[in-house]
Amino acid sequence: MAAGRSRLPERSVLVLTSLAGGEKHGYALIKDIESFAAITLGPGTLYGALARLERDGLVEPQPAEERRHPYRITAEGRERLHEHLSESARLAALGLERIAIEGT
Amino acid sequence: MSHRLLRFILALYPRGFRRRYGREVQDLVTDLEASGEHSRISLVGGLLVSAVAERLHAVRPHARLTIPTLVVVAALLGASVGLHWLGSGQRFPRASVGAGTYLPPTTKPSTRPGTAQAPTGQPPPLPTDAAAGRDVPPPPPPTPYMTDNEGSNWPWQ
Repeated sequence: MAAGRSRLPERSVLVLTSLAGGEKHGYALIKDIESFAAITLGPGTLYGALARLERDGLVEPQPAEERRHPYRITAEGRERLHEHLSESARLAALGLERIAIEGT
Repeated sequence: MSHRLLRFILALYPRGFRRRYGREVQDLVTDLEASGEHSRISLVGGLLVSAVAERLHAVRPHARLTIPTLVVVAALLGASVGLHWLGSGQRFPRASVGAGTYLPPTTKPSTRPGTAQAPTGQPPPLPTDAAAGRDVPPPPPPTPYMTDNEGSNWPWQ
């Protein structure tokens, strides 16, 4: 992980992961996150996360469709998500390896 | 959820958040309610907790809303409401005095002719608990104010 960057909160990772699959509005984000993480974000939680991600330039709003406002992940958002998931994967591999050694 | 209740809850959020995302949150709540998968209580509860989180974030951007933080916020709110209730009500007019502190009743000069009491300089008689038939224990002697060098054992004096 790049030095000086704070670790992404879990809900931000969920939102970025969902948006990595394409732009979505609030309701579609909640349903998508429910489907792949079995976590239901409330409206306040979701928009709290979106507010911070938008402030940090990791997501950007798209033109409104009727009364729905889609969001899209930015290039920086993809980079941050890639860093975070790579670090998580490294930790997961290390943990699994140690569990396997301990189990033998 | 009624429009009025939702507007009230949104009013608890910081102004910047409300202006930028209030409309979207309102539309999302409408969609979630229409889907029938989210109960009104869970939506209201989630929105209230998020309002506290956003307020906290507005004060301390790197703070995270955890269960202990929520407990502390709830305790402070409860304490302030309780103190306000105790202080404003007539139920405990001397709420600021600690429990067990003896307070002599205030004596009003009698206005009836022939019953006026001359000031004697003596404390008023101790109240008697008539129902229990026993005297209220006398108050402890007052602690005298201590002057700078009076009765002090501090080594630097």
